[in-house]
Amino acid sequence: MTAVFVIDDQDSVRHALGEMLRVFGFTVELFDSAASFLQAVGPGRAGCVVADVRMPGMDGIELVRELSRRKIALPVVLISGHADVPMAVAGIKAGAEDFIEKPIDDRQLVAAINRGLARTFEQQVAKQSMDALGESFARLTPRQVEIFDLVANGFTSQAIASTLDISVRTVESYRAQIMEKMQAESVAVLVRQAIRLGRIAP
Amino acid sequence: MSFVRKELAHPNTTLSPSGTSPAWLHSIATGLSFLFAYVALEWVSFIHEYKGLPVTPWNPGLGVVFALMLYAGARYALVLFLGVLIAEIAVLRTNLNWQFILGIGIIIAVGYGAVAHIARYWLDVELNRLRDVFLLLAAGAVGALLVAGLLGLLLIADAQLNVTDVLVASGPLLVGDAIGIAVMTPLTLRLILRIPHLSMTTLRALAPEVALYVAVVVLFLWFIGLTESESGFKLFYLFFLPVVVAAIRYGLDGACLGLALTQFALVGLLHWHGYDANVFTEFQVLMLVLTATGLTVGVTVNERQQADREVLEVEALLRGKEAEAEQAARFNLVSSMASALAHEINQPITAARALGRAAQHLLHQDDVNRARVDDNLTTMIAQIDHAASVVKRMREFLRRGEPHISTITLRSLIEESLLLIGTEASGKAIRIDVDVAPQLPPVYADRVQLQQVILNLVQNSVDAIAGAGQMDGRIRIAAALYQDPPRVEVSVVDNGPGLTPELAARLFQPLTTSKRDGLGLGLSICATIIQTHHGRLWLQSGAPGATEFRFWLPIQQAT
Repeated sequence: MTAVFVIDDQDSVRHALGEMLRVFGFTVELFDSAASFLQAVGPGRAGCVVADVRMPGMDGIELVRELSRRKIALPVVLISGHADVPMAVAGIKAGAEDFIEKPIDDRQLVAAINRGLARTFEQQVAKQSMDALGESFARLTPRQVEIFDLVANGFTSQAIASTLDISVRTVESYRAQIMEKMQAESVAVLVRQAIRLGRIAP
Repeated sequence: MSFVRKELAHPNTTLSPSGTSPAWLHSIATGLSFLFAYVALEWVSFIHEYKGLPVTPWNPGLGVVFALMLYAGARYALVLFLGVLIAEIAVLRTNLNWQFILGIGIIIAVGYGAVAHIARYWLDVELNRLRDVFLLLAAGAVGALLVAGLLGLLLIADAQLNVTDVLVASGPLLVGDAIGIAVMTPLTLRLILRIPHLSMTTLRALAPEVALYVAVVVLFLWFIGLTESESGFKLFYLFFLPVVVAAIRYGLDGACLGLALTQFALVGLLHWHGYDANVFTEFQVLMLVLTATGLTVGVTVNERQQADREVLEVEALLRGKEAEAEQAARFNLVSSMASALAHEINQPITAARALGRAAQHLLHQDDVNRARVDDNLTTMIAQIDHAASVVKRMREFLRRGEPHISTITLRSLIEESLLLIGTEASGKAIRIDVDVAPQLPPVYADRVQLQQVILNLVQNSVDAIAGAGQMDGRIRIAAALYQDPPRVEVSVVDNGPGLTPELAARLFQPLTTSKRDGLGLGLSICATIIQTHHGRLWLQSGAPGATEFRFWLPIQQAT
């Protein structure tokens, strides 16, 4: 389930932000420290983190680094009482989605959260389609892979036939099988798939 | 003397062009003026010759030129050489052959030139230390011995004198040269250094005293003159008085001038009375003792004055630094207070704004959840009140000097503080013990401020223990009665990691902190609070495992 994770050591701020985001329609989970958040969240969780920069123990910037170290692809929006430029730069460099100063403008915060969520969603979709593509490609026979590569490299059926010393009809039948297995409506789609699979250089 | 000064301003540079006229011109002018001084003094001090040797009972010209060589370099030995030649021919009207005169000139010039050259390595010509005075006297004595010895050898080799004659002549020569250097060299060096800084007002102020010294010396001389020859020098000790008085009052300069005055008066007496040269030599030996005494006293006084001046300078510097530090501390206190204020107010405002937006959003929904809106608005008002209380607290603190003094029972104050911080402490597995002495008299203090101090100290302990990741944290708050002056001492001890000496040294300065997120304001404010209550806050021990802060507050005596 997609959620907004609010992490702040200050009770009043944490609860108020949580209430506001809930009213706005987000599913919200609250944590009083980065450590307790890391303990609770697994790699499978989707959502967006809203974390205070200054916290006892692990601070917001360290949290961003720790998430990327654990390969947890959650976007992080950092919030800070007195943000200075170096701190903001450090946060963004570490990989934070955005950096927002307190007192928080809710439109800015919601925009940042939505951007983060959209980006993860896109990434997830892309990952899913990539996984599917990889599965389809794995179902090709070695001969089909050979012809797939030749098609992707721009060889015509005649050229492929003479290269492999087989009839043009056989080549056409292989091509039809490949297009079907890869669910590619056209040669152009096939070429794009070849690029995404790393078979040919873009 | 002005051209001398210019040349002497950089004694170690040779012939470097300076100012508008070339340096060598200054050198020549300096040399000529000292040559003139040498011949003039030779003429003044000349008493008699012994078989052609210039046996003057003292040699002031030598002392003056020796000073020049020490100050500006041994190349001025040329002045001495020419001076000796001119004195031999013009003043002594010698009948010696010219080769012999040249020999005497070379021996004197080379002998003293060499001594001056070597002495320059160790000697500070300002003669500010006792060491320098002794070095100068030693250099004079060595030079006199060397030259007397060489001259004796020359005379014997030339068969002008036999060994007995040489010994007879060398005694007075040796003493005369030594005393010439002892009296005139320090005087000349001090004159070179001091004349540029003398003003007419100073001189006018000194005039009556100088006149008094002159009168006293003349009186003593007249007294010695009355007693006739032999027993005369028994009264020599009288001269110690003006010299020592001048040395104590004016340091080395006073001693130099007093000695010169005495010496010139003595020579005057000799001219007047026509003493035998041997008797005079005895006087001169006494004079040498007086010179050494006078210079020693003078330079010791100088050293003392210099030390006093240095102490005063250091004190002034220290006062300046303290004022600077105080200024900086005050500025830091204000600026970091502003920063702390901003941070503390930002939190409730953030919360209040979020709750306000939530309430607004809820009201725009079709099915308004009134209870939830009401809840949000209630919390929002509480947050705004909190922000207001922060402002009020800061304003109260800044309105120093008028704390709201009330009678406070420390036990209840400490227990109240524990209510505020106890949850956090137990959450971090820290145990807090309280040990308040029974029948502890109440203290008179601002309740809010005193609580801030206790809270701050306990909070620091909690943070230190938690920061070190300790799981066996212990904090002990104790309060007990002490006498002389009657006071209540409160101590907060923890078994945390302790403080580094560097941190301990700067502990009460604003912006000093070991905490990542600390502003470094707490302890400096606490110390100020306790001070305004006429007590004191200090670090009793920064040791790991037993870090202790203590403060005391006076108890008002029941009258």
